[in-house]
Amino acid sequence: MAVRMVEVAEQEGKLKPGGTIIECTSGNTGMGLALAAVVKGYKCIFTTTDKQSKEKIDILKALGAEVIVCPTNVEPDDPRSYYSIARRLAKEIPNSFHANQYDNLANRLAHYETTGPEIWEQTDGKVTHLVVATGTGGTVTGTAMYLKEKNPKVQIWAMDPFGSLLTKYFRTGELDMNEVHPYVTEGIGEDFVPLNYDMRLIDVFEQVTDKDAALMTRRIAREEGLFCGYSAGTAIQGLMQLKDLLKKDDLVVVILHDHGSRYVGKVYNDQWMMERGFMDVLTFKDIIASRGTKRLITAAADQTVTEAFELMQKYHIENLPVMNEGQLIGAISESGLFSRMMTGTPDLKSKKIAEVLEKPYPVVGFDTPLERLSSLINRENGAVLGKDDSGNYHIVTKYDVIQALGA
Amino acid sequence: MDIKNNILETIGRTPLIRLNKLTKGLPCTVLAKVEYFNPGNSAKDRMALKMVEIAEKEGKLRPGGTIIECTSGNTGTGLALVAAVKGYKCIFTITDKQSKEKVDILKALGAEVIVCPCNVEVTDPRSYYSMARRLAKEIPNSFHANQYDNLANRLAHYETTGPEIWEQTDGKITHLVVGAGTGGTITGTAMYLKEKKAAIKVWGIDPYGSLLTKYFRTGEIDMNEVHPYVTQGIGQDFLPQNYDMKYVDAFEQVNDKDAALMTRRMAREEGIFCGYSAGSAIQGLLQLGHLLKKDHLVVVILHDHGSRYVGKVYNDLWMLEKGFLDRFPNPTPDRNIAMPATGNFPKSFVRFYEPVGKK
Repeated sequence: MAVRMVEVAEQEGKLKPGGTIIECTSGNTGMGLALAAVVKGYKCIFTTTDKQSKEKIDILKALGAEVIVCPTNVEPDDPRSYYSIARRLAKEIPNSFHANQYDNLANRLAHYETTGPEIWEQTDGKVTHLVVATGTGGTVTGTAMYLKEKNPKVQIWAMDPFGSLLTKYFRTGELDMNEVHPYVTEGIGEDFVPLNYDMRLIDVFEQVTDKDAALMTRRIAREEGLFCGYSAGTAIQGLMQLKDLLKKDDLVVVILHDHGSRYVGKVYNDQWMMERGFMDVLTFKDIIASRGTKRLITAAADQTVTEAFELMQKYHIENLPVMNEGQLIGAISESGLFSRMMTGTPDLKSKKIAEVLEKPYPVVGFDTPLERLSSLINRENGAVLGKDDSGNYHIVTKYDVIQALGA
Repeated sequence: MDIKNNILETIGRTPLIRLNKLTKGLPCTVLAKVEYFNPGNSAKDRMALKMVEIAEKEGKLRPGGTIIECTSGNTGTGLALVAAVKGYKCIFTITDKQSKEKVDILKALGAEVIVCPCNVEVTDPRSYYSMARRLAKEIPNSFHANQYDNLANRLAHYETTGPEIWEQTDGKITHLVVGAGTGGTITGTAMYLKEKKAAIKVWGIDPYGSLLTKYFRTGEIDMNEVHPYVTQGIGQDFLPQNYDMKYVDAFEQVNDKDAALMTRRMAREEGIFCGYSAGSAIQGLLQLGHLLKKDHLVVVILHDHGSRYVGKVYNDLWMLEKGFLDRFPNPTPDRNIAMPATGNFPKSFVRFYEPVGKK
C-alpha cells in the first residue's frame, strides 16, 4: 500500500524527485513508506504521538525518516496534534505529499491489484471466504473488490475490535460515537469511517475482545509457529466465533497483517498480559493448591529449640510459625537459629523457643499475587502465612515462590 | 493450489536483491541474499529445520521430545518455530546479559528459557553451556542441537542456500561473501558452489576480536586474538566443527564501528533493514574491493533482520556511547512546533469525517 500510494502520487504529479512524504503513523505504514522512500530517493517525515514506544520511532529513524513526536493529550483539531501537524507540514513544505492512508484510495487499489489476484491464483479460485481484520479499510475493500469480481459468491468477513465504531456503522449505517472507547488491540478498528471503505463489499462484521485476540495471537505463535502481530489474533478469533457458518467444502483465507517482533513487550509479555487481566495472576491460593494441601507444622512457645530442630528435620522444613493458645506469636527458622549458633548463644539447644523467638511471618490474603509475596520474602523473613475460609493457616516459603516463579 | 502446508515450508528461497548504492564504487554487480525473508527472520531457520530433521532420522529425537540449545538469538527462534510445528518442547539456556526482549521472543514461541550467570567460566557447572549439556543428559528423549559442532548446520546450506544462489545467478556467481560465525553458512554454501564451479572465490568476514581470521591464515588457535567485541552473531573464540577452511579463499576482519555504520547505511540507502553482521559483510567486501573486476558477480549473504538491533546499532545514543558516532546525526530541523510538556489523555480521540460507502 505504501508503494502504491507513492507510485500513484508520482503518476499524478503530486510527488516529484527530491520530494517529501508526510504521514501520521508510527507503525507499519511508516515502515513501508520509509522503505519506498529510501529506494526512490524521497525524504520522509512522520508525525507520531508521545505514547508510542521508542523502539517504533527508532525503526523509522533507522530507515532515515524524520519523526516528530506530538502530544497525545490534545484534541485532534488542536494545532499541536499529530494529525494537524502532518497537515500543516504538508502545506508548508514544498513538493511534499501527505500520504493519508485512511482516505487515499491508492491503499485499496494496492490490494485490488496484488493481494486479491494472489489469493485467487494461490487457491486456484477455490476461496469461498475471506477474513480480514480491518482498520483503514484498504485491505478488506481492495481484496474484496477483486475476489467478488471473480466470484461474487465469495463471502467477505471483517473483524473489528470492541471499541471501534465500524461494526455498528456496517450494521446500521450510523456513526455512533457511543461505540467508541479505548481498546488495546493495535492496528485495526477506527473511531471514524475512512474513505477506503466500501461497505457493500463486506458480508459480515464481527467484533472481538482485546483479551480473546491477545490469547489467540499467542496461540498462533505457539501452536502454528506463525509469529504474528495482535490483529492476527483478532482475525483468527473472529473466524472461530463465526465457525458455525462454515461447511466442509468451504475454503477460508485469513489475512494476517504483520510480524510479532513489534509486540514482544506487549501481547507476548506475560507481565503485560497479567496487568490487563488477560492472564490470571498467580496468587497465594494457587501456590498452595499446586503443591497439595498439607497440615501446617507449628511449634509451641514452651517447646525447646532441640524439639524445633527435630520438627524441621522430620518434615524437611526451614520455617516454623510459633503458636501460643491458638494465636500466632512469632516464628523460628533454620537460618535464624544458624546465625544464633554462629554468634555463640550459650546453651542454645536447651533454650525455650520463647527465648529465641523471631518476628511472626506476615499474614496475607488468599488472593495476594505472587509478585507481592516475593517482595515480602527476604533475608529476615523466610515465609508468609495466609488464613483460609475455615480459619486454618497455610504457609508459603521462599522455596514455594521460587518454584512458582520458575514454572 | 499454491499453498504451504505449514510455516516451515516457507523456509528458504529467499530473494537475491541488487545493491544499487553502497557498492557503487565496485566495478561489478553485487547481489544480496537477504535471509530475513525466512519466517524466523534469519538464515538460522534453515539449519534449525535440518538439525531437527536429522535428529529425527537418527532417532535422537522422538515424538514428544525436547530440543535443548544454548542460544538467545536467531537459532532459538528457528528451533522454536520448528518445535512449535512438529510438537517438540524447547529449552534454551542463555546468559543474564541478554535483553528481556530476546527472552520474550523465545517464550512467545512456547520455549522454556533458563537464564544462567554470564560471569562464570564456560566450564563452570552454572554456565549456560554446562547447563545445556546437563539438561540434555538429565531430560529423557532430549536432543542438544549444538549448532557449532552439529554438521547438519552446514548440510542445510549445502542443500538449500548453495543451490538457490547457483540457480538465481544462472551459475554466473564468481564471489561469495559471508560473515562467519558457526561456519555453517559459509562452509555449506561454499561446498555446493565450489562443486559446481571450483573457481568461485569464497570470502569469510570476521570481526576483530575473533580468532577465525588468524586461524585461517596460520592454522594457529591464538587466544591473544580474542577480545570482547560488540558485533553480534559472527566471529568465534574457538573453532566450531562446521568449518572446513579449505573451502574459504580469504578471511577479512572488520571493526565494530565500520560494521555498525555500514549496517545503518544499508537501511537508509538500500532500504534493506538488516542486522549488525550484514554491515560487517558489506564493509568487508568493500575492503577487498580492489580484488574485483568488471565481469565479476558477487553474492553477499545477509543473515538477519534489523528489528532485533533497534536498541543497539540503530539507536543513536547507543552509537554515541560506543564512540561510533561523534554527534547526533540528522538533528531534527526546527519546525517551530510548540509541544506541551505533560498532560492527561484527551477527552476524546475522535476525528469526524463525512460518512462514506453507506450501505
